[in-house]
Amino acid sequence: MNKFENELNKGNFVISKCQKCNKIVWPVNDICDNCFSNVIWVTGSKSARIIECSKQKNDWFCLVETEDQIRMLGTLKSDNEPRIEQRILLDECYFDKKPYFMFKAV
Amino acid sequence: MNEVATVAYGSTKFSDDDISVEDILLSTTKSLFDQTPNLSQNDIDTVLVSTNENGQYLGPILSELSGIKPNISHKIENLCSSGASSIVSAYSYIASGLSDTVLVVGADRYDSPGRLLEWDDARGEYTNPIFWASLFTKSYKRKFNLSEEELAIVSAKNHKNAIDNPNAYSNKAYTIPEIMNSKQITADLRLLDCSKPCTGGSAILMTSKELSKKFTDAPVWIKGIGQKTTSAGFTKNNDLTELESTKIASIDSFNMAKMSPNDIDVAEIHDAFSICEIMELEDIGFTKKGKGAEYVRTLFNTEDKKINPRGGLIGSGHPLGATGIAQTIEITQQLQNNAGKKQISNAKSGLVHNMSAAATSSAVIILES
Repeated sequence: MNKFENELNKGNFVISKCQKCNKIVWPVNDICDNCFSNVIWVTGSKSARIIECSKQKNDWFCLVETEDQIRMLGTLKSDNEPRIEQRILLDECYFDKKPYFMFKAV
Repeated sequence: MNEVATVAYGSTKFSDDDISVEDILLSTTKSLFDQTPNLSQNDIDTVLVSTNENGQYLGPILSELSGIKPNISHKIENLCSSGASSIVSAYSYIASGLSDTVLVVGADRYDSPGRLLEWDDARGEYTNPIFWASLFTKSYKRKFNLSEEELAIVSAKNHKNAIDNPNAYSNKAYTIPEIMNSKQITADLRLLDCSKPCTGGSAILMTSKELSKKFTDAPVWIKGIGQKTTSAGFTKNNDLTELESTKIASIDSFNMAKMSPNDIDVAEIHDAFSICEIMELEDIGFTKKGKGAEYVRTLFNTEDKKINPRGGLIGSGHPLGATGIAQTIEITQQLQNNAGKKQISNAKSGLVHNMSAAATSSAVIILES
């Protein structure tokens, strides 16, 4: 299990950032995809906006973009239909064979 | 560069059969040999296996099972576009002079590991392709007011076309209401909007110009190739209503062939989901952005089989590693005037579009009789 997965299991959302050129590497990796330098692990922003969303049974699933300008798919807890560009927050995350990201409306 | 032709082919029926990939590869190869009287094992100097199966050393294994002792033999895996990637590799071997006669065999099972891209952490728990397809569909609906009926026409057309394809997984036509009322997978995707991973194999023989005459009187020439990879991860797609890799691969392929979309008589394009066909028609250049559904409706209403005459992935099924090869076989048959009930009248040039993982990579191949 890597740093990203370990931290997710503690409920922490961390991402990889190049220690030389400061580029966020996403999906996370130990080596920068721009300059091949090593990364450091930093806390990722929990603030995000909705790019697109759909629904399976009672769960909304959304493509979101965080303030770090990285995109991911996650679940949105909401009784109302989400709006594009709606501001949301990463509320819960964990790793169980794959990452789970749960967001809530602000 | 040497000119490269497709000269012979073989296939299994696409099914739910629970058989090993090695057995599918061999029966597919046997089908090709059975249909190619002048071909002997000694003619083949390269064997390429297209599959997502985890099995080891499948190129040499197929070679041994088939009695072939090739110079070059290996496996190619590139998710759903493994087949087109293998054909591009075969082209390169022949064009460069490294090989003269390449056997390309693709096969996968219904439970192929290529169905899911486990690497992409950014997909979170939503690893199944139905989720990116749902978001593509929702985004396109939002931007271009696509209706449920327009989406269903893609599936109705391709299931109908598949009835004349003896190797297709599906042999049933569906009405538009049946498709619109099929099982709801997500709010934006129904069961009959999805292609089905299945068991099947397709094989094609490619040769240099000099050797082509030994195997056929009607070689089909590869005139253009474009391939583009924009990323591996789905979330790198900037615009969910466009397939960037498909646009770039198409432009490159048309440039190489010195052709335009107007020159294409028949095409097999990668309708993994209904929305994909609509977007591809636009991004390959067959119609303007936002007009893909109208284009499909016209094909359906006029019973024009120009796009996906074998039924596409939705009608034919999707044995991942075999799909790009099956598409190329269809275009070869069309350009040889040998496609039976599926035949497009007077087809001279055709196009194959095969893509992977939410169009993070695409391949476009243009062929000419």
